[in-house]
Amino acid sequence: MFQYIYRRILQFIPVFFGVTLILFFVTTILPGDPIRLRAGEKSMSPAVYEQLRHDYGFDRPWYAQYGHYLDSLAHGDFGTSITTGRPVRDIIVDTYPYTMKLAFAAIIIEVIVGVGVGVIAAVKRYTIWDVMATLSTSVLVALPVFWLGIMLQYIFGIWLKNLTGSQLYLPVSGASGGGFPSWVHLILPAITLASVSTAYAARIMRSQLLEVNGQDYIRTAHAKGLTPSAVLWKHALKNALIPVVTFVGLDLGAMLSGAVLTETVFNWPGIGFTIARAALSLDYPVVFGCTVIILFAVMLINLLVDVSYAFLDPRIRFGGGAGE
Amino acid sequence: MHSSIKKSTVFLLALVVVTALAAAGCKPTTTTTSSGSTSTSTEPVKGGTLSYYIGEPAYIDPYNTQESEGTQVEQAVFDSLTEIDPLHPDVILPAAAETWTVNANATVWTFKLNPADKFQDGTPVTAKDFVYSWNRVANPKTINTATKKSDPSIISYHLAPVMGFDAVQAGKATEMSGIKAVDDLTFQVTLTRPFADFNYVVAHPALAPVPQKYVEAGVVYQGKTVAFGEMPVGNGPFKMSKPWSHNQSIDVVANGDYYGTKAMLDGVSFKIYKTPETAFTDFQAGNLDFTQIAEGQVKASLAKYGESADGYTVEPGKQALLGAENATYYLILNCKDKYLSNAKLRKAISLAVNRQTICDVVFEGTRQPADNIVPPGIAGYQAGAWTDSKYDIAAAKTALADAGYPGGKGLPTLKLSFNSDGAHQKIMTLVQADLKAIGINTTFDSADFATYLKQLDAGKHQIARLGWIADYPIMDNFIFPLFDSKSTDNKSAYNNAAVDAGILDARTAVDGAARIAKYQAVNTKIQADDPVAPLMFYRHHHVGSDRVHALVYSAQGLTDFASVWLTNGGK
Repeated sequence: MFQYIYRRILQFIPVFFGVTLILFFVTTILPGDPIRLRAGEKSMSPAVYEQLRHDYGFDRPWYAQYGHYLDSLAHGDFGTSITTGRPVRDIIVDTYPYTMKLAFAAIIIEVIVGVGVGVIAAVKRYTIWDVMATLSTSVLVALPVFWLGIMLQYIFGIWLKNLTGSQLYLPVSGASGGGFPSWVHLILPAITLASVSTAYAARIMRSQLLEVNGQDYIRTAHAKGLTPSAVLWKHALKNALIPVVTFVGLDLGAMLSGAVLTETVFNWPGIGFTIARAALSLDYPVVFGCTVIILFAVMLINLLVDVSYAFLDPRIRFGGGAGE
Repeated sequence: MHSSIKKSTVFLLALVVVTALAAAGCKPTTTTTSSGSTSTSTEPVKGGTLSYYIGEPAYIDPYNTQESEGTQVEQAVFDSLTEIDPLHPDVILPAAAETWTVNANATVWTFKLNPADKFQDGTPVTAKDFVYSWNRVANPKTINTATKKSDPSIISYHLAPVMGFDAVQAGKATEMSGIKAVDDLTFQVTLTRPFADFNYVVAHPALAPVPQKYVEAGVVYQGKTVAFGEMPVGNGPFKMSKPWSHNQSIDVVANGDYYGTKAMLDGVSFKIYKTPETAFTDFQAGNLDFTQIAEGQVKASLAKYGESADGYTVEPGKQALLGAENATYYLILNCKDKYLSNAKLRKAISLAVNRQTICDVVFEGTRQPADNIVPPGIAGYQAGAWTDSKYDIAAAKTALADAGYPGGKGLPTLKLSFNSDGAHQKIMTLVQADLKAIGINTTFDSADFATYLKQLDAGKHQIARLGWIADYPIMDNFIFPLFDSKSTDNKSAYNNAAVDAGILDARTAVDGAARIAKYQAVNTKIQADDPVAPLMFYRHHHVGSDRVHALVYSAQGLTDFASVWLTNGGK
């Protein structure tokens, strides 16, 4: 087990080099000039232009820039934003905690609601509950996230506020302020971000549980006189959960990479919008720095998911061999 | 589709939370403010915090405040030497400088500072502070206060007229020879060339004084040192109450020690939004006092919130602003191009474009057709001064025939270049159809903005687009950069010795009325050559809440927060 984790951590190294090398290479073939872009429609003084090109290393070949970047990273320096002159480390420290908060809140909703609804739909198969669950998850999967977000803003931020004379409502923007405790600001963005994935999780849960329920060992469990709930919780659910855990794990990784749409609609100060804006303004140091952080977060989550399989299914073993 | 389990679960969950919140007494607390009578008349009332939409600024440290976002904050916290009257661009008001004088040919400016002007830590603002601050803008080795690495000002060009600027930029000196502190309260500026509008330049927020001590050592906030760029200390009517909360808000409170007219408000909370759409939603939810109107909502907002009388001032019931901004959207017609060097062809192109249709179809009235390169908010603007800047298809056809291409015959397909973001493609589609109507065929040549700018710098374009936003509300700020033959912003490669001489002559005229008359004469000369085709003036599309009084959002896009007040002091 530990050897497995150790080997997986070693795998971080080639992935890190691969991703950052590709990123650096791409910047060399992009035609735009980030320094020129900063001045926009007004021209920049030649002296300032040259100074900035030098400061950001654009006067050196890309491999020299890459070497310098690695050296700086090793010293904890993520570089400096081209558009704002801020240390990239500060930008990550400002935004990433909000991305993590939103991602974990959304995942909790996804797990509780998704698994719950999936189990109910499977257990109460072909009842009105099942039909409603199947129908609503289909609708939810098809809804554009930003539209759902805007609707929630309208209902809980504007309609409810007007209805109750400003006594009862939810904040629709930002992560603090308005006299609310900060966790209240999480409610609508987390629901929005979780919506589509929750619907998927419920559908996967339902179909997996139904499949497992048809297996021989479940029939055996019933035959030896276990109560239906014992069969469900002890035998069926544990096996049916593996694909759900895989899905949720991948999803958590995606959410930890930033949620551009949700962040934009709810003005959530996360890393997703920061990267999107940095990419548009060719702010390479910010793109690189954020990518490195996300890379490590996602690889860590993948590792945790893989390790969790062992607990769910004793047949999965780690270490060497063909069993992996 | 209404009875979905998932959706109702979500709805229920949220309702449960809401109810729990209310039950726990967790309902939003409103901040109450001190003082203020309960009068509902138009008598200004002190107190309250104005919440004001901005995007995340790039910088709020004056030396590099390039965009409107940072400038909003910066000019609340800092005062430059002078201030331009927000509603009357021909009036320059004293600010950090009480009085100023200029020599006969507009090359030596002497500013007498206000002795009562202090930084927010109580230190008096002296001429030495201006010397330090201006050199900081000019020097390409200037250090960023957060990274402690070099981070030059990309707007150092404001000081280009000052003697010694070129030497500092070239690294031959660290201080401009043209600025000096004659004594504590006398700041003298010598220019390389005459510039009679220089008292407008010094009003720019980037040229405000900064205290060297805090720039270099940082600012102590709650026992921790933060970089000056995160919590600047200024001399303006408001001061930072805490460091910049990135992507969230910047909060300032009234400066009790301010030397000028003290603010009516207790403070301003600049709330940072990612998009104007989100800000507008929050405005509708009652959480914002001033914002941009979201795309597609302009007409509805005018009806709902009432249109401001002058287009710039917010008062209850007259809250939506549509005043013209000091910015012009225009087509560059490259005078160096083989075909476009023909002035008659340029004239035909300018006359062929239906500007009203573009404003109506693409912009819902948030732009207005341009009849001049200089917009209406500038002193000296004359309606219709650019006689070819109008839609006249018959005249366009005649001009095209005069150019030697009757009905477009003999003219090859021309390139129409633009950056592919924003609404430019829609605009260019209409322009293309208009040109086609008189027989000029064009092809699109679009690129991302960064690439596009490089292409413009290379000068290989034929017809292209740009927008010009004035730094100062003066005619010179359009005419010199866009049309002087040596200006790097002259993307039309326009070269007219009479115009160059005319600009220099106007810059020498110390008398305001005479100067404006000279600029108008130069402008008339330029328009006869059609080096550009002005298309539209930008307009505000902003709205205030119904408790906001006397908020003037100028044509320059700046708000004078000191005069703003809230109904019942914001209670």
